[in-house]
Amino acid sequence: MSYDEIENLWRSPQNQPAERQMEEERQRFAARLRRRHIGFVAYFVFVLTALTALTIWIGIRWLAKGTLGSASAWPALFLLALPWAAAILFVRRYLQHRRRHPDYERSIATALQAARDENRTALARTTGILRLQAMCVPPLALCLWQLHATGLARKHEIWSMALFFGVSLTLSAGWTGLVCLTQLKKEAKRIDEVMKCYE
Amino acid sequence: MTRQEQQTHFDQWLREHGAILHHVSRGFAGGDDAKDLMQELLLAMWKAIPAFRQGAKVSTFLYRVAHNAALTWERSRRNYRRRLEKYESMMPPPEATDRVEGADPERLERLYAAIRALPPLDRSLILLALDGMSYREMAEIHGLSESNTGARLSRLKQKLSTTMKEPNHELR
Repeated sequence: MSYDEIENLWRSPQNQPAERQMEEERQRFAARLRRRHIGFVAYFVFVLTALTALTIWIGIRWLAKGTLGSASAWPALFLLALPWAAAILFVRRYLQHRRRHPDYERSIATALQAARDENRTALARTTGILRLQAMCVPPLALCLWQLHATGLARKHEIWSMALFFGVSLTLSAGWTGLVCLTQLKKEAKRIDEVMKCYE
Repeated sequence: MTRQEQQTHFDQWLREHGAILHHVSRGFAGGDDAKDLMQELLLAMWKAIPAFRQGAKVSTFLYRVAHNAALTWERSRRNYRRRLEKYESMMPPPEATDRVEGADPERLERLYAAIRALPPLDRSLILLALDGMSYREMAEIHGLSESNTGARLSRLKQKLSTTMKEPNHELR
């Protein structure tokens, strides 16, 4: 088959998408977009509601007992501040991501290079998160010791908390390591393979 | 840009330039994977709309977005495909009028299979050439020199013609 014949075949009506087919794709995409949006909002509302409710409950208890500002309050304050800091960082990153649009005026080769750089940054960030999680262990142990020393928690309660936080941190670090790092490494491999074609 | 404006652009571009996405999805993925890729291309187009500068050529912009997304697309997303199949089972069956009389779907499928067998950059270049892009536009989209693009395409056109001549060309 000559190249002219290939071009004629390419321009044939068979190679044009049917209107109905495109409409189906559009509907499918609209459903997917809606699902993504609902999923994000539901997750966000759940996390914020849980955090707010917990904060209000602890605040009310502190005010009622008059222990706010005392030495015994700071370990709990520290533990409460952690999820709030994570939530604020998450929202900031999401808003920054929405505001930042990729520059589609650039060539694909340049865009691939930028995607590779972004992947390296994400990889470094994930490794940083893993280090931070490891760094959380000593202050957490100190908090538990403080709770015991001030008489706010008994020995068996401290062990329960240590077990709960230990398992949570291990699961969280494991999930970050397994999912994020493997996904990012797979993405890096994919980009590298395409970039080799440009050399 | 408001969400309503984004939606208007999206619908208009899909109506006017849907063929670009159709060609890219079939050129980069076969069978059910093409449907997955089509959805990824639509998502890439949706996300790219706010970055479009007024006065720029929509088709060139879309080629850049679609080829960029297709080149780095990840195959085999099983969970997503399961949802897609569930959605399809709810849709009415295709009508006979969707088929074009006198067309040659088998030869066209062989052509797409031959394109998919090429390395990623060559695949992208031949798809752009078949859609009628000039060497200059292709070079600009990919960040290559015009002479390099021309040399690659001459070799590619020859290769594609030879592959299509073979009667038992294996489909992927």
